[in-house]
Amino acid sequence: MTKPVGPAATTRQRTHPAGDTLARALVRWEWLLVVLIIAVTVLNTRLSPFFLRTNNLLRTTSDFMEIGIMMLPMVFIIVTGNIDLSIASTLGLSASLMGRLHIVGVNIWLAAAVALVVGALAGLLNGLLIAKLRLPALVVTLGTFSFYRGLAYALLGDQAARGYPPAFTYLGQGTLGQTRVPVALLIFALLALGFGLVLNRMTFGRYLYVIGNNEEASRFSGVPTARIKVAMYVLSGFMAALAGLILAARFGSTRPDIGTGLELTVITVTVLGGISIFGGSGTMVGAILALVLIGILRFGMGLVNIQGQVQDTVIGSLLILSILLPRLVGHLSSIRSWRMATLGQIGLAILVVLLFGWFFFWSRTLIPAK
Amino acid sequence: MFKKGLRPFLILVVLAVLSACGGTATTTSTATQSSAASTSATVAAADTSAATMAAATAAMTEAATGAATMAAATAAMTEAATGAASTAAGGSAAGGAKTYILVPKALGNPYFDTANKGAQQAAKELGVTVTYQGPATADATQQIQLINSLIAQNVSGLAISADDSDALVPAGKQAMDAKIPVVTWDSAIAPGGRMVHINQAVAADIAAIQIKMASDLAGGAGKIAILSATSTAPNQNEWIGLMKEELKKPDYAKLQLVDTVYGDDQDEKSYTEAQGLMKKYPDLKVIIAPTTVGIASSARAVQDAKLVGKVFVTGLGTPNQMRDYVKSGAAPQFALWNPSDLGYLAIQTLNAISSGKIKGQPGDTFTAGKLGSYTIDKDGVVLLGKPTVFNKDNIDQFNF
Repeated sequence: MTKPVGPAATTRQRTHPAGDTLARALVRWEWLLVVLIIAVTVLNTRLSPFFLRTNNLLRTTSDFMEIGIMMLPMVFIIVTGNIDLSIASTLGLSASLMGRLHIVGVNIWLAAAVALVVGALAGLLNGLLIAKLRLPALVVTLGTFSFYRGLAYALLGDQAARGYPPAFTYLGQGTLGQTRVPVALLIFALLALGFGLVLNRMTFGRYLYVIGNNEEASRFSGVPTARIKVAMYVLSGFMAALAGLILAARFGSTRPDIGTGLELTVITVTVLGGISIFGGSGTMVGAILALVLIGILRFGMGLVNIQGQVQDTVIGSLLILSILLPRLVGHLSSIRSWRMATLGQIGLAILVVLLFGWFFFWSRTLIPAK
Repeated sequence: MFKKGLRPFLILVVLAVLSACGGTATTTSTATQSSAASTSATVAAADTSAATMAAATAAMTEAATGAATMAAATAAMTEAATGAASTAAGGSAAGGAKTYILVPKALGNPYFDTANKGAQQAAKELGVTVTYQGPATADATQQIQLINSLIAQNVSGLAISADDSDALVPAGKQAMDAKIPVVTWDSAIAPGGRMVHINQAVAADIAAIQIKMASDLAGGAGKIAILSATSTAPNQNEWIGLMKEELKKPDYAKLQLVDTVYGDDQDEKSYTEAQGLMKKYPDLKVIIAPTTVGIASSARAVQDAKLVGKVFVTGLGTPNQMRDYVKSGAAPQFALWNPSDLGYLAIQTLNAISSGKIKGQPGDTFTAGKLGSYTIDKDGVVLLGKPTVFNKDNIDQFNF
């Protein structure tokens, strides 16, 4: 069985950092993201005088913390070459359960704890089906995607749970002390540090890469594949539930459709972060940089009143470019003799980049900016 | 690995600090630039607001985008960039003209586009700018993100049709904390997250207008029936109850309500129920359908049964779906609030608050241009007025 080679894998080998030469370091995906972040920052600062204001930047971070929190376990899952489409539905299920319990008068912290446990159980079900029964992750989580959301609707119907105590909404709306730093940002930062350390420093993290590179081989060499996969899905469910609590706290209320569609944003950010969708490569730093990039890109586009649909198109194009560019670069660098066909390909690549840039500026005039 | 992976991050932090220092400098310089360019910005604003109207009415047709493409292609990229900077700065930094944002539940819905038309008319009369900005889909998360970016731009006021009455409360509060007045229209944010809500219609008026239309169509006497949505729909049931009260008035003594049936807001079922009514009561004069699905299905049933002129349909509908039936005579008149007036009143209210004429508190009275005088009631609600009746004389003025 041959494993398809991921776009990221063609240009560099992430799992052997010791062999990083200068040239290799320069083509690291993370650097490209840094360049993009700087470019977007400069552009945004030029386009809007409101971009580089601490208050504004800090306020907008709260819009992306739920995505970030769900992204952390998603990096684990995609590194192993799997996927979890059910996270936003797990978020909805947990938040709705907490809302239901709040309505019937259960203490909010107890309700939140129950929601976290149920989130982990939802992940456990995914994990068992995928790891023990060897069902494809895409199909299993597509199924639970509908199933968990359905449960959320069963719990709350067309009702909304509201009136959470201020101590709880502080999780999503509060700031640290006298500063403007959102509490959710601190939670995310701590979690990101922890997940990054696990992925890079611990055996568990190593095993994730090994499974992603070749699952069969890893199983034969004694890696507890099934247990690791179950653990990773439980983690994913738990984090989705946590994101649900923070989102409910930010809204100050819960409806069963809470967080619908977030899973696609999470997967977009993860893949844009250089985590190969085929598994085996990618870093936590890349994913976090991609989150920053998407965040400032969305915020910047919002500031100059670019409409939602166009924003989606821009992010979508960026995602396609992100998997196209490394492949093109890898292809070009492997060519020894420069023939007409090669020049044509280079021309095509330049054309694609130009078209993207042109599209971005063209789309701005689409919107009635005034 | 971790150390190496961290390197881009460290550089990013350093750059962020550097650019933040530089950023404050650029902000001030852009501010001076924009004040210098404020005259040209207002000229551009006039241009673009016309373009806005065109784009909104044409609903982003290919033709319009094509024209925009050409314009963009000819204008240099930097020009486009600086143009945006001046328009954005023109919002508040210039301090002169006010910029209000009309936020629909989602973009691309003719109902909200019609509201925007009214809002733009109000903008013209008041000499302010109204930008129409909404989420891609009717989703609270996206709407909150949008509102955050509007707060960041320090706009002069927000008129929101809320995707979620509760989830939007914190966002509305944040806006008001930032001294940005918030009114809602069409769909309210719960009290606490907004100052004033513009209510499109009250149940009693909706019930009264439907009975009046039915009486007109029946010639003051005869059998009428109601075709509703589901038997549990709270809105419809409230209206039906009030309609029955209304029928007790002496004016309507000769009208006889013979039946109430439920089409469940499904086209097929409503059509069959309407057919059933016509069979069961051969001398039926009017079917009242207080639901946009039922009214169209009933009109079609009347038309298919070749009973146009004998049985009339009325109720609540939208002009686009009812246009043909109005003209054929199957449903000569129906009612709904006018979304254009709703958008107009929302901007007028916002302007009254933002310009300090009123505080937005219960009891405040203000004048809203062509619509006349309004008072904020004790719940912080302003009532738009009586529903609009659509008939063959005025239906072609509406597109929603």
